[in-house]
Amino acid sequence: MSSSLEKNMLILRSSDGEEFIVPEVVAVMSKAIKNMVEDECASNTIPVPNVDANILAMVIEFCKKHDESEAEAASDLKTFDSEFVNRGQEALYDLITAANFRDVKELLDALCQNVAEMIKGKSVHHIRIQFLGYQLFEILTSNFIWNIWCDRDFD
Amino acid sequence: MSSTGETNDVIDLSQSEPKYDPQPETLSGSKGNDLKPIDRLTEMPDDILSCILSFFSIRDSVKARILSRRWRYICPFMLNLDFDLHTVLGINYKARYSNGDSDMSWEDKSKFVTGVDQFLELYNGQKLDSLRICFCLGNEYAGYVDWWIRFAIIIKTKKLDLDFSASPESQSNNLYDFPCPLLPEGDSSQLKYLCLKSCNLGPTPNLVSRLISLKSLDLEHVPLNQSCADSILSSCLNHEWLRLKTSILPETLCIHGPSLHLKILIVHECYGVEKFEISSIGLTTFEYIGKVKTSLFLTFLDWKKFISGPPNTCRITRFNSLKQLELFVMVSSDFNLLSLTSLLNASPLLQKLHLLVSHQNHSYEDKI
Repeated sequence: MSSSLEKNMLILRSSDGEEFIVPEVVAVMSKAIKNMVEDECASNTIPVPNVDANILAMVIEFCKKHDESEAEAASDLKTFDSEFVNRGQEALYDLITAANFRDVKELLDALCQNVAEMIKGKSVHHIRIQFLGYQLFEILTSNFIWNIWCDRDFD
Repeated sequence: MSSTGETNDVIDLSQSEPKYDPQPETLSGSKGNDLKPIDRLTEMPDDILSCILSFFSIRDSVKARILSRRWRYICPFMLNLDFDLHTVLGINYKARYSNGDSDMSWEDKSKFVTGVDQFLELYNGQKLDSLRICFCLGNEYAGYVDWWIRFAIIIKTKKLDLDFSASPESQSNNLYDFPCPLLPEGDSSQLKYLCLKSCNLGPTPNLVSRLISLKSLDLEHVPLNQSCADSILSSCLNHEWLRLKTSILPETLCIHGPSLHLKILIVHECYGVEKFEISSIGLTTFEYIGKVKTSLFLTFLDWKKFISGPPNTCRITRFNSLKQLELFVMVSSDFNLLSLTSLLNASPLLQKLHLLVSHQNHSYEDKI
């Protein structure tokens, strides 16, 4: 397979063994992969441990879009980003972990901004239950005065 | 939301340590580990949490510390810190003071300085592009402000903007003294842009060299006496942009010296200055707004643009390479348009003259 591979293409292998053929310019948007390519310690196939096929496909989709649309209007890219990151919490955190581990700055920023937007406008109670895994009774039994604070929304 | 609630709202910012524990000790102790909030967000590394916080306002990023233990010491990455009434004390305060007639109360001032103090204490960023502090603070808070400036210098801030001008009448005799000794020596300083409003800037001669690395200096409502002005203007070799606004200036303002890099000079509504002596080779724009009963002595000029208020009695030696001249003249009854000819005669290379004359409510334009 690698012999028939076009020039400037790389194979990324996810943690569950699936392989993706990706242009090198797209793959090196990950700083971690870029370093490997520059140090020439990468053969044609680059293993991407800790990232499964599902998430890797999403990351590649994001990088491809950003690579293609360099000339496009920034607002289009923004729309794409906001739709791209609009996912359930689980997928979001998997993506953050992948983006952090592989060092894809644009993706990481878009994801973190999305988490921030999810938190904004909510009360501390709400954030604790929805995002921080608190149980309702823990909040109800905590200090009364503290509870007064917890009703405050984030601006 | 009650009004008392709003005031309480700031305490999470201004009290050093939250008194209340978001995770009650008794609960986690008695019921075991399975009740500890373990979730994906809490498991994220500090860098990620900091990155998320950096999309919050300063105020929200501080509030987030009460979410859980994990978040208590997380500090956002922010390259531009902007502390003012809104970002530190919240939006309700803005409405309260927007009409401008009520003075900032002592309590609010101390909430503000404590809030900024605490934010900076926990701030663990490695560098900062700009630090802006906009609040009504006089010299009685010098201890705090000095500490903030020291902090900004240590983490190599490029731009420092101190705007203490909230209520001019109450503090004109108690302006904050900008601490020149805190600036690093030599031209190693990273500070390139300094903007002071309602402060005192009076470097002693041995300290004036500390301002040498500045590219841009913006002074508004900063009184300068003759010796200060002379020493600042003659020693700031790297200045490219200088603005003096509504400040009390000495009688003679001298800007000269072959090594000056000054490109743009703006003087707006300043008092006390009678005479300009400008001979700066690189100057491209001189903008002057205000009454002119002044004499201009200008030599060695390579200007592209000169914008001025009414030049009633200018005595001008020569604008050797002035190419563009814009004049906005407020006419008094004895104004004679021919008085401008001296100005034109002195400008042999003039290519464009833009003259706007306004006579009470009427105005007409004249272009060459």
